[in-house]
Amino acid sequence: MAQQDLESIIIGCKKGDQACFSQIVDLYGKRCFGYFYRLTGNREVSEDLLSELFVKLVEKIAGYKGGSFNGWLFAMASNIFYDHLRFKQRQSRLLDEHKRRLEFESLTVKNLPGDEADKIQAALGKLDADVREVILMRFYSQLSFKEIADSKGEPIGTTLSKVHRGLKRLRELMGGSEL
Amino acid sequence: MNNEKENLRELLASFMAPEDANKTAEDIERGEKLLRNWPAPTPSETLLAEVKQKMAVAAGRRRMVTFQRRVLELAAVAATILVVSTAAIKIWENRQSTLSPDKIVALIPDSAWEGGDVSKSDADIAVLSAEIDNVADEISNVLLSDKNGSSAAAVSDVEMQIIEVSADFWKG
Repeated sequence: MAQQDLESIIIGCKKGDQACFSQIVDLYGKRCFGYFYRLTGNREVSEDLLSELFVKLVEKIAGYKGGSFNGWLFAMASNIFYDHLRFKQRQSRLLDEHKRRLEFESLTVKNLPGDEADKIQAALGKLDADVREVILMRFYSQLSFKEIADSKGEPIGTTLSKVHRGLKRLRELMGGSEL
Repeated sequence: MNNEKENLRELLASFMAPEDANKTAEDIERGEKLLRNWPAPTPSETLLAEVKQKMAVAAGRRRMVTFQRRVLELAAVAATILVVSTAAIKIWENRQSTLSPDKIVALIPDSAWEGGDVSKSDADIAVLSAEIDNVADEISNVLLSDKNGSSAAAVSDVEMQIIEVSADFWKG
């Protein structure tokens, strides 16, 4: 989609135009759902987070001052995911990373038709949460490393290192397969 | 799309040796290929329709909140204007109705200070001083009663007295 078209849709959203909001959902709904699903491994939770994201978009769009819309949207998605994670942590009193991983894996197994059907989900669950999040943000938002680093407020070298380390580990966990 | 925006190898080369940059770029590309080959499930059409519906509700709520905020802002501005204008009118009325001691002195013609008959002047001055003291007392009373909002009549009385004193004095 041309940048100009996206800008006119965003202007429409700022005016509260319902058709423009629908277009945003059509454009970003699948990618954002994929991002949430790969982070949580749970379809129902991903559906809730997706709804929350787009409702928040309606509330916050007036504050969007230009720049990368992808970056703005996925930064909001990332905040929503971390809020969810904190809520889950409080709720289940899982305070350490190991327990969080266990929970993630159990959710993954429970919600998938079979291990082979989505083997990558289990492998992603074995990565550190922040590494997993950066890899998935890069993949689904299609942001550049610089944009991701800016969004995370970290040096670009750190982002590059996390993505490289994470993807390398992911391939190892998948047994070196790419298919 | 992200690779179109930046040359990964060039970017990595700014952090490491060219051979390492190539190897790291390959690792990243192969990892991302893995993610492409294992696509995440897609949301159902029902979910997307529900999301759109929720957005419509949120947009309606936002419009309502914006409207309420504007009404409150207008009400606040109107209230401020009302208070300021009332205060301004009150101050203006007070300035119109009170007579300061300076104004009383200004009522005395310049010729009073230029009289040649000293003995007559002394007697007149004594009378005038008594009248001035009397007027000063009246002004004090007026200022005190001003807080009760009944100053207009008292001010008129004082003004009348001043005029009388002035007339008597110049008659001799």
